[in-house]
Amino acid sequence: MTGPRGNPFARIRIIAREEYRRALETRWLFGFTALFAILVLGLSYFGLAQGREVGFQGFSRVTLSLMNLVLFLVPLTGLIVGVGSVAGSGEALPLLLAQPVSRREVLLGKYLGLGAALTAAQALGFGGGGVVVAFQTGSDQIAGFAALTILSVVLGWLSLATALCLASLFPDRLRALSAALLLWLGMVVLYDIAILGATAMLRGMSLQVVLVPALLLNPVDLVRVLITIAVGSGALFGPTSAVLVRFFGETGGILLAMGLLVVETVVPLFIALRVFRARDW
Amino acid sequence: MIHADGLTKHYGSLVAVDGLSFSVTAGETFAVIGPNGAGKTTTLKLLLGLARPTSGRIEIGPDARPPHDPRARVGLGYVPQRVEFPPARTAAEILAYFAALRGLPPEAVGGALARVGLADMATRRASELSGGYAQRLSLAQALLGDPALLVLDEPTASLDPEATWEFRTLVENLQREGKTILLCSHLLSEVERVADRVLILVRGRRAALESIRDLRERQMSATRLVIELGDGQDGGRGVLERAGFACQVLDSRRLVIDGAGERGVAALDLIRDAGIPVRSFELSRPTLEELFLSVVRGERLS
Repeated sequence: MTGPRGNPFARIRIIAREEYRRALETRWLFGFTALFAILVLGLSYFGLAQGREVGFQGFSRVTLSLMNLVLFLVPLTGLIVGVGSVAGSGEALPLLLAQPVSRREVLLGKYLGLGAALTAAQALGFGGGGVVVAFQTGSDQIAGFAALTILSVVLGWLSLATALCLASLFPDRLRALSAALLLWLGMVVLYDIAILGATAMLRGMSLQVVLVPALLLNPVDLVRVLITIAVGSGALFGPTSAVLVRFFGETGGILLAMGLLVVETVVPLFIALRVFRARDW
Repeated sequence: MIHADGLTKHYGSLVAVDGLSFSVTAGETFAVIGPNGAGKTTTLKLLLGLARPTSGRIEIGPDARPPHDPRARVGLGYVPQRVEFPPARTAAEILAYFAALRGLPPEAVGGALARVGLADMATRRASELSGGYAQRLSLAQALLGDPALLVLDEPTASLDPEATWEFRTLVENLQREGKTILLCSHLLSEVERVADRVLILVRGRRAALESIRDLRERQMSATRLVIELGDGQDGGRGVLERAGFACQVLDSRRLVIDGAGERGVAALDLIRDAGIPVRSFELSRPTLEELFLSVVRGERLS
């Protein structure tokens, strides 16, 4: 359904700009930018502190260390920020929905604005930290770091779409946040434990049959595999490396993985749009 | 301007609004009142397109569109009970956002601020505005695009008496401009002052729909005269009953008769002519609140 005056894209842009501006005003954008930059610089500088050495390390070490933190932090950030912008936002959301704008425009505007803010935080944080590391150590292995940054951004958009889906399903902020935290815990911790258990129980079955489909279903694992392969550290997967590198290390596998990440973003966003449009606020 | 027909809204097994029908004509100020849980908020949500009816229909504007159609809301401005605007944003910036959403030029902002007396507050941050000014800003937001229908949800509930008076004055100015206003309030003094008609909701149903004028007439006809006599009520009561007045005894000295005005004066004359000393007298008139409560209690009993 289109709105009354002007074109819907203009209204989506206005709402997106407002969300972005609120992210600036509430300072979470600055906070995450600083956090990402500190992580890059800290991991690079103190990465070998256990060996009583400090000093900037190259991108190869930084990327792999950073990956595990990013896979924890970015989905959590996206989920919390996305849920907070819809669920339990007091009178602000009803006031917006009472304007002559369609609900689809409102949700898409919020998604694009929040996504742009999260992307800016990641780009500035990782980019700023990366520039310092590159000046100190050179640009060797920078492609892996760039892949981490890009996949982190993709994971951010995916988490936001999931968050908007949850917030549309559970307009009560506490319930929506609880659902988001449970989902996050499931994606970053419980899922891997379940897969490990399943592979142990299904010993003897081909890895492709169990592991590859399981990795495809969890975006966090999918991003982990893609970054690891991009850094050229596929051997870290141990005996499974041959399977994973063969599957995800070729153009077809990468395209399939990226396609799946897009699907895992679009599907929750589509559900969010359907639910948000139909429900009472 | 608003037409609701058999409007019903269920939330699971809870019936929040039950077969509600009413119409609001252009230029009218229409109040919706009722006790907590009566269905006021749900009715308002249905009217704003925030919720869809389970059955029945509601249409707004000259084209009689359902409120969930964004085109219907072009002619609607909404003032929530309390909205927290971004604290670092100036009044003009806040309105600029809503003006842009409505496809209005930036000049619309100045006009809306001027209409609510905030022209010199354009650069003031939301965090620096008092409750009264913040609510005026909310009204300015609702006036962007000059909508014909304004929906006010308990707009003065959180304001001090002076800010309340100023806000009501603004609403009265809008009435004079010919705006159609739907006011949701539990402040009966506010309703009495500004509304033309009042819809009383009880348990999601229409308990009464009356004009304020009719309510006032009922109020007048229910006026009673309380007379305190110097020598006890017996003598006075006899005099009045012989003259056809129905008397009610309050205590050993005080009598109550129905009616005021000429009837009351005649009763006092009779007592005085009979040589019975009158110590004092007063008119007792039910407040709008008492009339409201009698409707609510009557509906609950039924």
